[in-house]
Amino acid sequence: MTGTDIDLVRLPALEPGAADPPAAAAESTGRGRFSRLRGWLSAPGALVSAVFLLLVLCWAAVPGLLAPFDPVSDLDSAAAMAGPSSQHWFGTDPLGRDVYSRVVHGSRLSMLAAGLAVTISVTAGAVLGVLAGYVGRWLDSLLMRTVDVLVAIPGLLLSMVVVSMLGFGVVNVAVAVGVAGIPGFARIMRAETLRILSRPYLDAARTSGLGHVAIMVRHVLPNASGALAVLAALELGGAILAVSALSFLGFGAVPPTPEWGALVNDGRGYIASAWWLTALPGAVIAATVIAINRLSREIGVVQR
Amino acid sequence: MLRYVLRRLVQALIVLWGAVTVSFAVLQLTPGDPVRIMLGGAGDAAAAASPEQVAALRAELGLDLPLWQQYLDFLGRVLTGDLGTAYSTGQPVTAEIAQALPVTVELGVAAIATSVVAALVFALLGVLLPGAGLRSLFQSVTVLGVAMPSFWVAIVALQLFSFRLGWFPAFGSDGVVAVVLPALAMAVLTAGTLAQVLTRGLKDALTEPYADTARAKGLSEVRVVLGHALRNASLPVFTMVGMMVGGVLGGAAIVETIFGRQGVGQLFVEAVRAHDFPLIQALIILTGGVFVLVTLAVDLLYPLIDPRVVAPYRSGRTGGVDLTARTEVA
Repeated sequence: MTGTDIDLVRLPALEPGAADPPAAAAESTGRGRFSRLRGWLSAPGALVSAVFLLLVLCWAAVPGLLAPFDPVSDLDSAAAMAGPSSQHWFGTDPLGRDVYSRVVHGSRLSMLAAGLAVTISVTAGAVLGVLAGYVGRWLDSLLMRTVDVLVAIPGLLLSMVVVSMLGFGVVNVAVAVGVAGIPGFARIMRAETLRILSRPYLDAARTSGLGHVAIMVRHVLPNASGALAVLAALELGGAILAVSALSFLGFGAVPPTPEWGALVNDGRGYIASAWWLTALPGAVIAATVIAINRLSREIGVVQR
Repeated sequence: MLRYVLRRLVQALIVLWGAVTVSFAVLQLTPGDPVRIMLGGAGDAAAAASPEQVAALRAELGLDLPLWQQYLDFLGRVLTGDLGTAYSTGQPVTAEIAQALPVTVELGVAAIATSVVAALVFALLGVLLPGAGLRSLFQSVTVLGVAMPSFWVAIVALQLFSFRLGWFPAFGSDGVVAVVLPALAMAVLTAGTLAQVLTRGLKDALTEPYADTARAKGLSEVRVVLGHALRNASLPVFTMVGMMVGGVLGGAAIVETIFGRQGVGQLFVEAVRAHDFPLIQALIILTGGVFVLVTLAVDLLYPLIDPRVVAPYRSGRTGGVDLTARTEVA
C-alpha cells in the first residue's frame, strides 16, 4: 500500500505555487517535467547558475584534469607574486604556486566539508524534528526548548564552540557547522510533521494498523522531504560560507592543503600588494553560493 | 496584556537558564580531558605539564567534584557574576569581556543602523522605481548581499578603501572613522537579508485589499507604499533586527579579526584558538543573554506596533501573529 498512496498524496504538493511569477507562469502553460524544464531554461539566471555549479562540481571531482598546475608542489619562484595573466589566470602566490590551480583543488575539500555538514544537519534535524512532532508531550517540550537555547547562540559562534571542543581540522569544522545547523532543521521538520499528522490519510494509515515507526518512515518522512530538500539546498550555500569562514579563521585546513577559506586567509598578509590572492578565491566562493541559492529557489518553485 | 508579558518573561528566563546549562555542558562534553587540552593549547612549554599542574587546574575548574555539585557551583558563580579566570591571560573573565564589549557595541550599532537604512532604500527602490527592469535589478542586488562571504567583503573593502584610496585606517578601533569600514562590511550581509524580507513584505502588502482601497481613493503609488504598505511590511523586519543584534556577535568574530578591533568577536576567536574554556563559557552566556534580552524587548514592544499580537490573550480567541515563526539570520 505504500507506493501508491504516497504518490497520490504528493500530487497536490507539486502544483505550481505563486512564489516566482515567471516560473509559475511557465508551469501553468503545461504540466509535466518537460515544460517545467523549458521554464527553467528561459530563466537565464538559473541556467548560468547551473552551468557554473556544474563547473565547480567538475573541479571537485577531477581537479587534476582541470587545474593546469599542481596546487602544492609546482613552485615557480621566478613567477612568484605575479598578477593574473594568460598563464596564471588567478595570479601566483608568494611561493610561486598557481592560485587558480589551488582554487580548483580547494573546491574538493570545501564542497565535501559543506556536504558533510548539511548531511549532519539534515539527518539529525529530521530525526529530532519527527520525534518531537510525533511523540509530542514532554519529549517535544524538551527538544524544542533545547532548540530555542541553541538558536540563541549565533551559528558561527556555536560552530566555533564545537570546534574548540573537538579540535581543529576540516572534518571537525564540517561537523561543527553541521551541528550548528541542526536546530533549524529540527524546527522545520517538527512543523512539517505536525502538518502531515493532521492529514486524513494518516487516520487511514493508523486504522489500518500501521505501527508508529512505519508511519514515521513511510508517511511523515517522504511527505516532508520536499520542504527538507529546499532547505537543505539553501543550507548547502550557508555551509560553504560557514566552513570557509572557519577555515579563514584558521580552524580548518592545515597548510599547504588548498581549501577556499584557507586560501583567502593565506592571502591576507598581502592585501596591500597582491589583491588577487584574496579577491579571486573569495569571488569563487561568493559565485558558488549565489548559484546554489538561485538553484534552490528553482527547486522550491518546482516543489510547490 | 499582563499574561503576555509574564509569558514572555518566563520564556526568556528558561532560555537564559538553558544557555548557562549549555555553557556548563561544553566543558563536560569535550572529548578527552579538557584540562590537558587547555594546558596543551597554551604552548609547547605547557605541553609537558606536570601532574601537579594538571591537578591544580582541575581543582580550579572544579572538575574534581561530583557532577551535580559542579553544576550547582557553576549556577551559583554565574548568579554572583564570578565567571572565573581567563586561562590564556590570567585576567578575570568578566574584566576581559568588559574591556572588549564597548568596541563591539560601537561596531554593532553602526552596522545595524547602516543595514536598516540600506535595506529600506533598496526595498523601496525595488518596489517603487519605474520600469520592471530597474525594479528587479534592485531586488536581485540584495541576493549578492546574502551570498558573499563576510570575510571576503571585509578584505575587499580593506583593499579598496584603505590601501588603494586611503580613505579609512586599515586597522585598530580608535575613533569614529575606524568603525566605518568594518560596519559597512558587516552591514552588506544583514542588509541583503533585511531588504529581501522587506521587499517580499511590501509586495504582499500591495496586493492586499486595503492597498486597493487606498489606490481607489486616488492616492499615488508612492503614498500607498509609504503610508500603508511600509508599516505592515516592517513588522517582520522589526523582529529580524532584534535577531540581528544577537547575530552581530557572530559577524563581529570575523570582521573584528580582519580589522584588528579588540572586541568581543575577536575575543571569542582567540578563546577558541587557545582552548580557553572559562572564557568560552562566559562568552556563550553573554551571547545567549544578549539574544534573550533583545528578543524579549522586541516581543514586549511588538504589541505597540501591532496590537493584534496580544488580542488572543485578552479575549481568549485564537489568531493574531505567530511570533515563534521566525527566520534565522545566519
